[in-house]
Amino acid sequence: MGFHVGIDIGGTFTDFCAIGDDGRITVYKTSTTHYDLSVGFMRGIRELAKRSGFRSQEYLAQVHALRYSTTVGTNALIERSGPKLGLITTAGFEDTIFIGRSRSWADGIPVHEARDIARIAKPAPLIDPDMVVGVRGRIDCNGRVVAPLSRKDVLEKLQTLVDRGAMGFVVSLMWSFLNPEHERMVKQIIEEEYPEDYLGAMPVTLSCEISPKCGEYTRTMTTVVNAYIHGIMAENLNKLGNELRDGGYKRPLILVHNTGGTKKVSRTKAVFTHNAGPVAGMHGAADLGELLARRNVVFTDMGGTSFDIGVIVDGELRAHDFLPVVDRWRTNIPAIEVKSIGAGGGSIAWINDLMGNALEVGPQSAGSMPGPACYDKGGREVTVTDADLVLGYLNPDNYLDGEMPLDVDLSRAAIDEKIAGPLGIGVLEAAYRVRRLVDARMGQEVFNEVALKGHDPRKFAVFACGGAGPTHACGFVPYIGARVAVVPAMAPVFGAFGASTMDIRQVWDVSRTIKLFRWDRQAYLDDLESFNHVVRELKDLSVRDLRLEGFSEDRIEFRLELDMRYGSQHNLTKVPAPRLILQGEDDVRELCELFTKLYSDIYSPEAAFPVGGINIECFYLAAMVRQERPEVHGEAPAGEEPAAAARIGSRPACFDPAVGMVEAPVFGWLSLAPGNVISGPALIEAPGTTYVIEPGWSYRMDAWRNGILQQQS
Amino acid sequence: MPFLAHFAPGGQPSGAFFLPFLEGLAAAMENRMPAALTADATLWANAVPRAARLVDARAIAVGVLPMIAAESFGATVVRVGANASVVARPDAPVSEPWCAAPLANLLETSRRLAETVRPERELAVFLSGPVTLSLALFGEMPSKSILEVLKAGLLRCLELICEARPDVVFIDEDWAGRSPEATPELRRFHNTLKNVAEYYGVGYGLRADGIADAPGAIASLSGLRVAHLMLGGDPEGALPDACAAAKAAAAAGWTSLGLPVAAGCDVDEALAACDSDAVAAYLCGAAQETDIEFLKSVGLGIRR
Repeated sequence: MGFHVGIDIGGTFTDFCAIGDDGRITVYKTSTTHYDLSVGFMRGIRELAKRSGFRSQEYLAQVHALRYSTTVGTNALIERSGPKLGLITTAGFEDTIFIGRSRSWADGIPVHEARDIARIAKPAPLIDPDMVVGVRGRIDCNGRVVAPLSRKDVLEKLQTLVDRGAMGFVVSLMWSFLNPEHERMVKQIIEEEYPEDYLGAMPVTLSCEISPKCGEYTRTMTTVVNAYIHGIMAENLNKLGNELRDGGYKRPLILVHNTGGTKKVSRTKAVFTHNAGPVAGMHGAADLGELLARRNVVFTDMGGTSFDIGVIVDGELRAHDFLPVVDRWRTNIPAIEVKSIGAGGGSIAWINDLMGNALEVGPQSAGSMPGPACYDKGGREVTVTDADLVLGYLNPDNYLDGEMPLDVDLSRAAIDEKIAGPLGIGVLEAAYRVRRLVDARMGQEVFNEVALKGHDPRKFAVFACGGAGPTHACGFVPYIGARVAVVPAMAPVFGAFGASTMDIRQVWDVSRTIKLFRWDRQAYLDDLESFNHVVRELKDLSVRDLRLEGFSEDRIEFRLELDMRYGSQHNLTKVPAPRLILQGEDDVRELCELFTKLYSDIYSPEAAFPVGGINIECFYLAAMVRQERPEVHGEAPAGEEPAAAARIGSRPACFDPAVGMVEAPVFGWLSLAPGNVISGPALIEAPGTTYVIEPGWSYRMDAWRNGILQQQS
Repeated sequence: MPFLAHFAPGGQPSGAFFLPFLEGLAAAMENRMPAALTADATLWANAVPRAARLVDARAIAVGVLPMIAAESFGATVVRVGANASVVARPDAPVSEPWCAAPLANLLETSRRLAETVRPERELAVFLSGPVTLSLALFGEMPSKSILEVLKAGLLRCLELICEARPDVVFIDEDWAGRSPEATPELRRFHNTLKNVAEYYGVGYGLRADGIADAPGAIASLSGLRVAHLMLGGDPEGALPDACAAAKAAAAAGWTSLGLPVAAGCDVDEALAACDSDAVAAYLCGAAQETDIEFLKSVGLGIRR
């Protein structure tokens, strides 16, 4: 017997999901231990072992793979706990990272803060201005060396940085993605001066290796962020790896990447771990969508701290169209696009007296410590979870399967003091308003995310995941014009579930401008080798990397995406290439037509302008090795009427403050059978979550125990 | 072999062991008064492990000196040797007691010891509880309103101690001869503290000192729903009957019981109680102990 284990660390809870070789799934949720993430990690492993009937040591010895979406790097950025780095750049470009790109002061902050222009400030830089030096030597935009690099100059600048306390170096020179010669020379000089066998050896990170892409600001920032979190991540993950090895785990720890795949810790670039949790959830949603024959999916995950939204079109996870932000920095990593807003079970409700005592929810979260008032850890703020508890939706004795009893009196007291009192309304009414407000915010964001990307929301199935997703699905789904929501069986730990089924995958990318259709000659590209050479180079890199992980070439699948645009246009559109290698003009034409079709779908056919020329600007080659996963079998449907044992009681719940509390039937999810239908109002208590079936909605369990919530017409 | 580490997940100590209170001895070894320890975190954190090494103690307890918290909450305390008494009460408790000596020094000492004593030794930190503080600051048993006043400060102190990650935190209560009662307010108060300790993966226990009727108190205090109880002496310092206490603890459902011993007492009787199957019992100091021969002999007795 073996297990695939996925671990997803969130702002409030750490989720665990283990899939056994026999297809049996074990899940667990525990508070995220921000003071030391490995404490929660090992606590969860022990509990999974216990629930599977093993001692921890025996269990770990049987685990095939531990796939971990970690927030260690993210935390290091937030806490600014990285090392003092020195940046070596081209002379004259020393201020690039401080000037930023466009309105970089607004990157990575919530909209309401970005609007506060009077008080907005640029983030404290990861590298101080006095730790940046410029070296002479220049490569031009065609990759030719126009001024040689001076070794003497490099040594002088290096000494300056060392004297100022540098503990590592980032090298980012102009046009290094076209010709990395100078960057590699700088690295060689540093390694000669501070060889690895000396205590003073210092890590060197080159931009041409981390992000060989056009755009000096984003290339440099991607490299800086990577170097900044690298050491801390290595230290933490090595410690965790040792702990796991001591505990009996014999295989390498695998990290989830924000590019939609997984890699061993030893083969992972640190920057690819940022915000990987929601991407793991999206991967799970795409798989489940395939199973349910729903290829257009809006994935939503309402956890304790944030509400994540991802759009899956035609079964594919899409990377960011624009440059993704890591913490406060715009980077150019090929990360899967997930939007997060501060709306979760722990989001704090507050009165905005500057806006005429308007009720607001979030974006601040009570987190796991002190958490909502009802957690009884000293928290006094009102949160969405407190509102749900007061409304009767949550069972105070069965929260997290009874592991964390809730105190409803503390919730009532907090709502009374902070919301109901100032607004002059009752506690129930206040709780109901908190809930409605957060539902509206989430619904509006989902609508924006789908509609503003040029999609018709009505053609999408909404997947409601996360510990609070099933509790709020009926509330936010109507805002996007949908009447159906799918709540996956593993919804409360969907990020961990997605991680446990992820394949080995990495994306190799490089900027190269290739004119597929020349506007001046109105002719297609004839030098096909210029395209094929880039693809072959990326393929070689990926094969070499995956061979080092122990995979043979015949197991590797490739997928090519291209950033394309019309001539003289600024923005790029990502196009999945139908083939890796171009054989003739027909292949070039096919690619151009595909681009025009995609462009027309998004911006309307009138906006397409092929005669202006069509260029490729960047290549992304994803290499993937599929992992074995247990087969999922559906169960034969039972009748619509749930078994008597499934009805575990009833409790007062409020669905309309004008009516007050009404007695709502309560069902046990584990006792329900596929095919069972429940009409609202009703509550379903499941491991790690509670389904709220509002009046006018019905719930049906499908063959795979997913819940289909449908609003009756 | 870890003993206190088992407290955190609600487990029992893995066998009999001895948790002596060595701050008095540590001060004597440094030729200082105990009050000098609490005034200097460096001295405190260096001296106590030295005393533990001297008597080969497997676990270190800090914060057992009386009235440390009360002083930081604003009471004026006079110390004579290891004893302390409140001579003036504040108009209102200090709002940030963790910033004021000697509690601030206890926090710093806990941080340093948590970094340095393991793996040879384990660490238990003692923090005065609401009953002790209420008697010291208000002169009465804690009412609902007093608990409200004390809660935020005590909670933050506990959080800061737990951030240092000791193996266990004991809430140290001196009932000063009053009959302990597990009121609903007190139970809720402990529940909040217990939840915080649990979040940090730190064991949470209660030390009950100054109780006249140990078996009665053991039964009564079980209503607080704290898993681990450590007994102190009665108001005159007399030690409870170990066997009766163990039986009472087993009947009341305590997970573990600390039985106090002091120089001159019958340690064998306490050891016999530890060996009985009634409850997972271990030995602890009754108060600050400076008799080195006694401390060594108890440790040897257990190992034999």
